[in-house]
Amino acid sequence: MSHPGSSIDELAKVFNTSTLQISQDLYLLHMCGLPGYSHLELIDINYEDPNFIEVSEPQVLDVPRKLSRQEGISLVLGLDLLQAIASDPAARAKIHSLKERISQSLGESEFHVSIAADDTFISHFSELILEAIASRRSILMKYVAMSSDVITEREVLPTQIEYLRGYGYLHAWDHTKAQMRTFRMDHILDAQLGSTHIGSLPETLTESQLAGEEEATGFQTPALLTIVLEAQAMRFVEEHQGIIDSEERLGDELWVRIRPVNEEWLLRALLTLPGKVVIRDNPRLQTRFSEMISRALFGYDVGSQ
Amino acid sequence: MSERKTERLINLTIALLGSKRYLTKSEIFRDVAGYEGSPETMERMFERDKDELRNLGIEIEVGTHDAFFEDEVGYRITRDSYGLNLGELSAEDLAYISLAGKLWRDETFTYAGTRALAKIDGSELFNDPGELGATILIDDTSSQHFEPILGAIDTRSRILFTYQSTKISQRHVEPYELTLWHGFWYLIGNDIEKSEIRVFKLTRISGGIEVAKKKSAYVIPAGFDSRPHLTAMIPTQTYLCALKIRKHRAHALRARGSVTPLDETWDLIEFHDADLYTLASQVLWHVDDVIAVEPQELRELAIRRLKEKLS
Repeated sequence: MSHPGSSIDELAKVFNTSTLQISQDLYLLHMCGLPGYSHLELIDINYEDPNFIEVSEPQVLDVPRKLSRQEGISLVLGLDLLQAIASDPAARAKIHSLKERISQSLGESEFHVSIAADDTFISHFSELILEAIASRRSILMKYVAMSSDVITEREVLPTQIEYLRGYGYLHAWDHTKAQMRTFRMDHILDAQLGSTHIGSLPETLTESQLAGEEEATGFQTPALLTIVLEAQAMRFVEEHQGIIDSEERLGDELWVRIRPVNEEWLLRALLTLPGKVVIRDNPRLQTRFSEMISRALFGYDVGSQ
Repeated sequence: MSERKTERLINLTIALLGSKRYLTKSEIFRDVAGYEGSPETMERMFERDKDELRNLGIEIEVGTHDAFFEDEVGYRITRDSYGLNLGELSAEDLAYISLAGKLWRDETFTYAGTRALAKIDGSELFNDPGELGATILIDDTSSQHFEPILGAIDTRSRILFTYQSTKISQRHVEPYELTLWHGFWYLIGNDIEKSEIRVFKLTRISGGIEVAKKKSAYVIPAGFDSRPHLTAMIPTQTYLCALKIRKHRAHALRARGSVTPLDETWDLIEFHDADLYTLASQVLWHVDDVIAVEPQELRELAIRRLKEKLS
């Protein structure tokens, strides 16, 4: 109703279903109406032309239905997050008032679902980056790469911020590398708006350009790795679901199958975990790991005895 | 749901919404298309349809024409209870709502957000989702627990699940709230065996969640606030921390405090921190480029983690 003239193909796409289902639904709606069911009392839909669908008489179904609880929650939680990110008090007040209106429309004062504002969402640069995305401008940033521990200064065109498992990630087109890159927000040391506009992003990106990530892979052993951790290190599994193929709890141990990742990154990440860590089926990597532990212990003058 | 049933439910909704007075059952069975069969069959059909509409969030009002006479009860749906009414929305309001509804990338909220936006402003359905500035991704292992937990909170039913902490155990809980905190969803509720409010990370719930059939089995304390229970997990004592950092290394740690050169190889960085557990991880990440000096607890924690790996 709010979009007269849509095609069956468009409707199938936005409702994530088949064109056949949309056609059947339109036919069914066409058969419904007020008691009496004369042609004047039925819902009138024009759908003979699959490229032009229009509801000309909705009968009493002329207003959208009230939000369901889950629909309301999705909006209120989203607004919670926007409120946490916004630094302008007027914007925060506006968002708060919208949350109240949605809650009232559902007749609920409490949803029992919430987002606790924390530093995952409140990065120093979230607002600046969102402004750059909205105005399609670049940012100039100072970034410290995790594995190489090197600071670089670069101009990037931000396309999206993603919040995943406790971290904020910036997806951006890196001018210097001519690739899409992913940056951890908490590794951005400084950022300011640049002057380049997003119109200068190449129109066609190759798959490898799109898949570019800040931390290069460079793993020498492409096969799956089995790592045995103690149960107290389960946060590692929770935070890195993207590289974990499978996991199994055996008593107090976690047996984890990991897909190939940056070797240096993996060894350092394992070094930070509490408890025992064993890299199985890869003696070379286990030796490198042991050497790393010895080097670190040497710094504390305690050796590896 | 069969097409015949869908058609009957739409017809029933239209009839109850279009009527200015309460419609009695006999009027519904006579006038609304789709009610057929014996009186008992139609009665059962109608009871199921009412439940179905209520589950869809459509409230059916029950009443009589005149409270002073014993009329047969009737049914209707008011436009106020059926329709969405958020009042006048400015372009700025719509922009915030649109962004809020499109933030999610998970099984539960992505579709709910899209549906909500379609109801508020149908044109939103046709907007390109690639225009977003920010998204929240939630792993599916958490999302699958949402529906049973939210349903249980709604009906105040107890739940039972297997929880993997350092030990695996069965937990019997009265769920109070779900909160997204530091990127993970947590369930906060009364642990019946422990007789206290506990916090459970959804990613650590293994298998399904069993919801008890009994409804209204507990009461959520008025004004319950989950945040103190979450923040109780954060250490509060602050330490003055000193780290020896090799020159030109560990830039993220350097940015945290004051830097004093020690010699040609090392600098000393000092700052305050309460979470020694996380700081020990950050120190160990840099292998032999960063050495924990103070407090002693941090130094011992770093050494212990290294030695555990050699055992």
